Amino acid sequence: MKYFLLAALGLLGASGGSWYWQQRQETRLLAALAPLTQTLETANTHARQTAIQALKQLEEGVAKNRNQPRALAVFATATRLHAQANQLLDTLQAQRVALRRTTVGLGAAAAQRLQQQTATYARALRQLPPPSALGRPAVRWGEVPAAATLADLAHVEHQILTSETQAIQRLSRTVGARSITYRLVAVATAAVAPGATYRAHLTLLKILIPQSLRMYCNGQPVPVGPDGVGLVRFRAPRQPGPASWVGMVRINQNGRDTTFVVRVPYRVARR
Amino acid sequence: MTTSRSFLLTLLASTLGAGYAYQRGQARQAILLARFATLAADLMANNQRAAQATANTVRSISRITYLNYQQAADRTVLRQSEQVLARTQSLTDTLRALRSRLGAPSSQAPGLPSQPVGFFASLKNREAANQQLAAHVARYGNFIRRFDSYNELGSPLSTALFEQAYQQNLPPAVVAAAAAGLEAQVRQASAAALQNQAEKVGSKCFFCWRYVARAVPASTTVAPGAFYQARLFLAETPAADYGALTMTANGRALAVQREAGGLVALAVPPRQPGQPDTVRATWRGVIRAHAYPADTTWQLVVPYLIVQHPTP
Repeated sequence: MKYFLLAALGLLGASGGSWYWQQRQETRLLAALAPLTQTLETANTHARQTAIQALKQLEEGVAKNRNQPRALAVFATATRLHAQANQLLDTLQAQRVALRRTTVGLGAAAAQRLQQQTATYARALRQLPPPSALGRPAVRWGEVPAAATLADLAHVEHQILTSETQAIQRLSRTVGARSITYRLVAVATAAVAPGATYRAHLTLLKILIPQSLRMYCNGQPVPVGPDGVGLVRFRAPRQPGPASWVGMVRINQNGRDTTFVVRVPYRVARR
Repeated sequence: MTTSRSFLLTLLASTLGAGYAYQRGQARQAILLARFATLAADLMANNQRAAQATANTVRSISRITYLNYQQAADRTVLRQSEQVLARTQSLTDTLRALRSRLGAPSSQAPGLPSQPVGFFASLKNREAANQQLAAHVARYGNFIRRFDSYNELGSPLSTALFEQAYQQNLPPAVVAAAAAGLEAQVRQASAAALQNQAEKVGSKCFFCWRYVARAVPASTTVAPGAFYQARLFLAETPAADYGALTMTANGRALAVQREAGGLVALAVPPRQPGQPDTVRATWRGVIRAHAYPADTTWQLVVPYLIVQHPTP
C-alpha cells in the first residue's frame, strides 16, 4: 500500500512536471512564432504590390492589343478576381487587427465568414480559363492562441496572393499581351577570303519567335521551323560573279502586319 | 480506510487528468510546430521569387548600362549592384546550408522532426556558430545600409530568433523557420537596395534596340548551279539581354562591337607537303554573358575549308 502510494505520488509529480515543461515550451514556441508571422506579413505586403503590377501589365497589354473585345473580357475577368481577392484580404486584415487586441483566437462566426469568402474566391479561381486551385485554408478557431491564428491568417493571405498573381499572369498570356518569345543563339557568319586569313563574325543573336511568322525568299514562301528559323535553299545561277537574294519576314503583332526585309549578297564561284 | 481509499481515488484521477492534459499538450505542440513548417515553406517560396526578381534587376541594370554605351557612372552602379547580389548570395547560401543541415529542403520545409532535439546541440561548437552567423548578418546589414538612400530598409536584420532558439534549445523546425525568416529579411533589404540602384541608371537611350531580318548563309560562296543554303530569322539587335558579352575564338579574346559582334581573324597554316587541295578545319567560339548570379556560356564549333586554289 505504501509503495503504491509512493508510485502514484511519483507519477503525479512526473505528470505535473512534464505538463509544466510543456506549458513553458508552448509559451516559448508562441513567442518565436510572432516574429516569423510578421516577416511573412511584410512579404505579403510586397506580394500585394506584385499582384497589382500584374493587373496593370495586363491592362497595358490589352490597350496595346487595340482593346479587342476578347482581350477586354479577359481584363474584366482579371479585375473581378482582383476585387474578390482584395475583399478577402481586407477581411483578413480586419481579423488581424481584432486579434492583436486579444490573446485568444478567432471566434466561430468570424472563422465561418472567412471560410465562406475563401470558398467564393476559390470558386472564382476554378472558373477561370485555365482553372486554378486554392489550397484549403487552415485557420483553426476555438481555444487557439492569437499568435497561432495570426500565423494561420498570414499563411492564407500568402496563398491568396500567390494564386491571384499566378492567375492574372496566366490570363495575360491568353490576350497576347506578353512580349514575343525568343531564344538566344550563337552564330558565326564566315567569309572565306582567298589567301592566308580566314575572317568571320561571332555574334549572339536574339531570335524572336512571334505567334504568326511568315518568311519569303525572293518572294517565294520559305518553310519556318518551330524554333523561328526559316530554311532558305535555292539553286545558284550558272553565271559566276556577285549575286544577292532578298529575304522577307512578316509578322502580325498586336493586330498589325509588319514586314522586315534583308538583302543578302553572295558570290558564285568560277568552275 | 474509506479516507485512504478516497485519497487514492483522487490521486489516481489526478494522475489520469495530468496524463490527459499532457497528451493534449503534446498534440497542441505538434500543431504549433506544423505551423512553423508552413510559415517556412511560404517564406521560402517568396524567397525563391525574390531571388529571381533581384537577379532580373541586376540584369536590367547591366542591359541599360550596355545600351547606354557603358558610361562610367552606370558602370559604377552596375559594379555596386553586383556586389549587393554577391553578398546577398553569400549570406543566403549560409542560411540555406543551415536549413539543409537540419534536414529541410532548400525551398520548402515539410516533415521536419518535431521532437524537441535542439539544433545547436547538433553543432560541434554551437556558441561559435551562433556568433559567426550574427557577425555575418551584422556585416551584411552595415553594407546594405549604404544603398538605402530612401531609408526603405526599415528595421535592422535580426538574429534574435536564432539566439532565442540557441538559449532555449528550441526544436529544429523553429530554427529552420528562423533561417527562412532571416533570408526573407535579407531578400527584402537587397531588393530595396537594388531598386535604388536601378533608379540611378534609368533608361536614357532614345533608340535602344530594333527588330531586323537576319540571314546566316552556310557559305558566302557557292559553285555555279549548286544549292545555296541559309537560315533566315527575325532578330532583336543588339542582343543586350545580359549587357556586355565577352567572346573568344580558339581561346583568344575578341574585341566585341555592339551590333557586329566579335571579329575573328585566323591565320591559316601554310600548306604542308603532300597535303590535299582541300582541307577541313574548325575553330571554336565561346560567348560568355553575365546571367546573375551564374554566368551563361554559349559554345560553337565552326567548320571551314582551306582550299589550295581559292575562287576569286
